[in-house]
Amino acid sequence: MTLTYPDIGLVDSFDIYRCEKPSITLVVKREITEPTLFRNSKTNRSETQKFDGKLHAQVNGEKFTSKERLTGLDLLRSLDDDLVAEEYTYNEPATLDESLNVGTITYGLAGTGDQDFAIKSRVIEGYTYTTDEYDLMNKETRNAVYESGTMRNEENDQSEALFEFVKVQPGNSLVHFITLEAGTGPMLLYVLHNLLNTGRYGAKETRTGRNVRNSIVGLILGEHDTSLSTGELLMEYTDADTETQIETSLNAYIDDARRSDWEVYGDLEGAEPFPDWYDRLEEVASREAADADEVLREEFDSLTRAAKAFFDDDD
Amino acid sequence: MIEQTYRATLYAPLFYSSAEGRSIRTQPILSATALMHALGYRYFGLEKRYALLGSEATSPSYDHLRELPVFVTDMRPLTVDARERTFRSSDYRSERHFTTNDPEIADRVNGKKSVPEILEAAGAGWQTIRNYLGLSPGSTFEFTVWSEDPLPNRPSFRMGINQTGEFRAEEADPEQFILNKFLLENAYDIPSKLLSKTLERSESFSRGNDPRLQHFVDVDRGFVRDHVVPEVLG
Repeated sequence: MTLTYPDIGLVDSFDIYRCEKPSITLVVKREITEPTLFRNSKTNRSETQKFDGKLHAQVNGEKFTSKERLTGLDLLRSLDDDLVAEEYTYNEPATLDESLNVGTITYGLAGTGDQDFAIKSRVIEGYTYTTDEYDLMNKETRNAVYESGTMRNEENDQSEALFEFVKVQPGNSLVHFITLEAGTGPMLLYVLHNLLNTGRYGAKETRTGRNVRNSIVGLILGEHDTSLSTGELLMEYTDADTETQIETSLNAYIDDARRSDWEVYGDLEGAEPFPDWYDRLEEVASREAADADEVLREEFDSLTRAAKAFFDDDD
Repeated sequence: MIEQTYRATLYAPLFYSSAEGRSIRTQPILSATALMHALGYRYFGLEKRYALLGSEATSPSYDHLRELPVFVTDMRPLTVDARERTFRSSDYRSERHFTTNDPEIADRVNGKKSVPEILEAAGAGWQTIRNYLGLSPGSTFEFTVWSEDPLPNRPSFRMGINQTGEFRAEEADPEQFILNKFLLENAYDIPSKLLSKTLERSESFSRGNDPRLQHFVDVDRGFVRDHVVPEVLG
């Protein structure tokens, strides 16, 4: 069984010149399941942002995108040798020709090697913030242990390599609006796959393992970008004093920002339940469907061919 | 022709390379060229090119703005915090990372000290690490739009590096206009005589270190309506 894509929110075929920019915004809940360290200029904790007197951890959207892009690249390489050029390495592009794959045409790429080119990202993942408080007092102190497994060496010297982390604790979560602008059906499938199959984010994730669980709670299709913002949600639609549930705030926010051309699906107030075409898409993207790999290969192959044909013609 | 002023609130950190180098600082006056692209893409059917090749990828062009049936002022800062914490970017050639706990090296990366020549020429990605200083969420701005078709009551748009600046605006009464000299001169070919007059009718002139950051500040509103807007959209 093949896939069905919606009539609005996507473009029919791959091209690079667009006046109309239909879009699909995924409302993603990112639940923290293990202590997670997000850091930028501070090495031991997250950036923070105060909304309504409450401190939230602030995370640059690229911290999520970069991990999701790598998940996607792994998938493409595992599905078929022809989906990614053998010479291509992530963020190390030499030429446009070797860099053309589903990942780069979806998430963008700037040529830094032998050839000048720039592919704009069609995926917009803005800044996001923890929905609950980020507790700076909740420090984890670590120190280096000796081979003995203790903090003392043979001469009974105390280990001095003490360091502290302030991680986002389990139970907290982030609401993230991820928009695919002027994307094709296979691009939506790719973004969904990457979201549903990436679970390790932040610093030291290669040691700490899976720490975030993503789920899609809503889907907004429209003729234009929704421009939904987690900052606006937290600043204007939540009230620290009354401890509003984030779900209530989210419903009020989307309801207020809603435009007449939007189709809203999902677990949101006033939304239609997820339609059949989406259920099938999510089943394939999460690789739960028996024919998932076959469908993914077919969809990504057709998109890759369309992109290559476009640039070959352009030469 | 509709003239409408908006007050815009920023809901996420915004970064622009107003000052280039290892430390990238965002100036509080946001340029009309960026705003015209943001509104153009969102509301006025401005063509977006999702791939650029050769010199198009490296040289900015503003000619297409002249075709748009809209003209905007620069975004005048009302309450702006320009000390948003920095993030670092590096040219992550492959998956290599660079971090340092050495304050001496950190100062060089921050642009407070010069970088030794040997590091400038190093092949690894770390010499391209830059610190970004941006504008904080909650900052507010004012801008005025002239167009044939109206914008929605509460327009929303994104601007800045990686489109991180998320704005929503609401209608407001105009206070002062700030005009972008680069846009007038280079995109619209406004005659130098009119530019001189605009300067005379401005309270002040704000210079940046880039040609695109020259602003006529608090220009006489009647003069803009009677002389500048007709020349631009005429």
